[in-house]
Amino acid sequence: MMQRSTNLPDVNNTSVGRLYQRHWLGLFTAIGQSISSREDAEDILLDVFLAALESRTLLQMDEQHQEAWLRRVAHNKCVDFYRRATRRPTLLLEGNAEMLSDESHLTPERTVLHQEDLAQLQAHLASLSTVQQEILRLRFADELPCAQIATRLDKSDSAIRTMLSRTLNLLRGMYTQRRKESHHE
Amino acid sequence: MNNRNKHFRPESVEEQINDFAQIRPQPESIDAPEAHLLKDLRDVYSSYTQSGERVWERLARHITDETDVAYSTHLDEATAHEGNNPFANGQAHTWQRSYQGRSQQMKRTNSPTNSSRQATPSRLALIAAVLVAALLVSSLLWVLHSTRPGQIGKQPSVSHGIYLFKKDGIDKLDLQTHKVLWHLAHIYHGFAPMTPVFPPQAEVLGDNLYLLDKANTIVAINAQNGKMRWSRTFAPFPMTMGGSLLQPTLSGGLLYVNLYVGANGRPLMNQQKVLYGLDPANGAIKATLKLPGFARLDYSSFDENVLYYMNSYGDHSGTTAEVYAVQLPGGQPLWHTSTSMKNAYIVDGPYIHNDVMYITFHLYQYHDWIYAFDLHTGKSLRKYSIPSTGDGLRGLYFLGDMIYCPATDNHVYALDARTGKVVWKQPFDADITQTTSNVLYLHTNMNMHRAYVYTDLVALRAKDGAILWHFNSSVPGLHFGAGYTILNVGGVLYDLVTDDNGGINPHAALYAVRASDGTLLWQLPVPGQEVLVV
Repeated sequence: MMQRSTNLPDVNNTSVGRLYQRHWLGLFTAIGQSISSREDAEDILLDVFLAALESRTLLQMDEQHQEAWLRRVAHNKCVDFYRRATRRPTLLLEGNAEMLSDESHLTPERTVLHQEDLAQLQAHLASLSTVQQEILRLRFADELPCAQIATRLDKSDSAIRTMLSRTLNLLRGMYTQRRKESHHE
Repeated sequence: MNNRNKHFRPESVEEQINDFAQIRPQPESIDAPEAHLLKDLRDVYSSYTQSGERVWERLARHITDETDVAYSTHLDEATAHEGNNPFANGQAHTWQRSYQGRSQQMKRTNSPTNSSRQATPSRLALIAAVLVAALLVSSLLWVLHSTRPGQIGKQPSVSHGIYLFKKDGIDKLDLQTHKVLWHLAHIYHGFAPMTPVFPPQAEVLGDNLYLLDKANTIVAINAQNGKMRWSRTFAPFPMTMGGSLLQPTLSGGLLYVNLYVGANGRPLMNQQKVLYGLDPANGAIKATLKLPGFARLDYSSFDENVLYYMNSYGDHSGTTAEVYAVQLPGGQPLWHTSTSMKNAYIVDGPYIHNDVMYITFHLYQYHDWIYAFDLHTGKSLRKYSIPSTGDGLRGLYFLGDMIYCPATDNHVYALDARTGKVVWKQPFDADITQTTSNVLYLHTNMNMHRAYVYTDLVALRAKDGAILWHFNSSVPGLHFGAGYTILNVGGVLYDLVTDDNGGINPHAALYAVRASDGTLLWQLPVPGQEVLVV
């Protein structure tokens, strides 16, 4: 994970890497709430950590203030992005975003509804705590079992299972409600 | 064991996930929401992880490029030796100088032809972008028009106070005593609850508090007593487009709003072109104007009941800006002008000051131009360039015969409005948040040439840029906002600091600072709620 080229520093072997490892996901989902283009969101995430490289005070802060600092930088960069982006001339949107999944088998209407599901899901994910997001990512992107997630996050297996099940039930409620509504329509 | 259609349970969550992984949910089915959820989670987090890897790779390449490998890997071994911390000691200076010289090279520029990433956009991407934006655009657009420089101090407001948007309704507090003046049990939906960094989409005009409540609804509340006055809901936006009501503006006794249909702040060709004039007393539609071009109120200016608005078009070779002037409330065209500029890709305006209308262009090669037009005829008067080197200007501000431009090259420029000559230039990465007849108030960071987070409120003398005073927020983790305007009443500046710490409980505090010398008069913690100070 986070190490695709052998001549690059390992994410776990540098202080900025560890900072990145701790905060990138929370920041990226928060940025994603403001910036719909994945490419632009990646650019802003990169900018945030380039700013971190320049800061002489960031690593002296405790973790909570580090997160506040990083989120504030992300916010400011989102504001600057929108100041610039909305003043760009009209351009076709095509090519400005990417699909999260292959939906070529869906009808256009179903594609639209599914994209609404995904947008709503991402909005909910952004509201989760950093540790909840990390658990979901380790489970669904890295496909780690709960025991390994527990080891990775230095928590007990039962704590991970409890947090994972609660989080999934929270999100399940959203899907259940939404499907009832669309069925009634 | 049948784990389907049941809540996830701690003791069996692993098995339930594996169980649902075996089935492929039917897209049309309303059953098995768990299966849909789990599939979507896999898709979303896989996509996030790919993004995280791409960004780390770019960041790691930067670290490797900027330092030699030994420096970047050993120095950060780190933690046991704070002296080796690149952020915390003298080595940071070397790093910083090196970084600043090359950061623009490694960043993806705004040029659409210059992306360094590996993403392969799909043709179906349009739908995804539009739908995501449909959820987001309303809060984001508010950022734009709440940060619109030319509108500082232009909107009339007669009911100063602190408005708190809470889970159980809206409170108005007295500006000086903080006593609750009224409470209205109206749950405000206008801000995206997951993005507390954005200010509420609310504004006090005249004696009404207007809320852009949900994407297509505007609500008017009596700002004096908190009684609901009226609410108007416009037709829903096309599902595939999304949209937002745009900045309400009072002019000639009518409240003007229009509907923006588009995504990601980029207008779509089929967006609506209708401007509504509402009766502020009851919300009745008094005027419906179909205007040429796209009359976005967040890219417009009102002057003497004339609306000036700009459209822009372009491709990779340059940009054309078209400005329209129409008489309200009838919408009769007064004039129209079109200006093209090669290599420009950002255009901003129109700004109005002293019977002159200004628009700005930013070029790919770090250069900004200001064009000036006669306000009454649209005739071109003059143009001049600004020697800025960043990603563009943050806006134009006017005092007398001077134009002030905070720029993304970390400087604030003061120009002679008639000649374009740079009168002074100060090294601040800043936002101008308020102006008086002879003072500019900035949010910036006194300790960093590139601010990133704004820790200071600074007063500059307008005529020469001298620092009159600066006030440091001095609360770790709390920062002044980008793009937030501040209230200046009775010689007191009211300003907000927030932590942007995510989640649904942002921390925030309101500061009252004496405008003459920057002395802190009081501070009021306002945690976990949205705040509007007007």
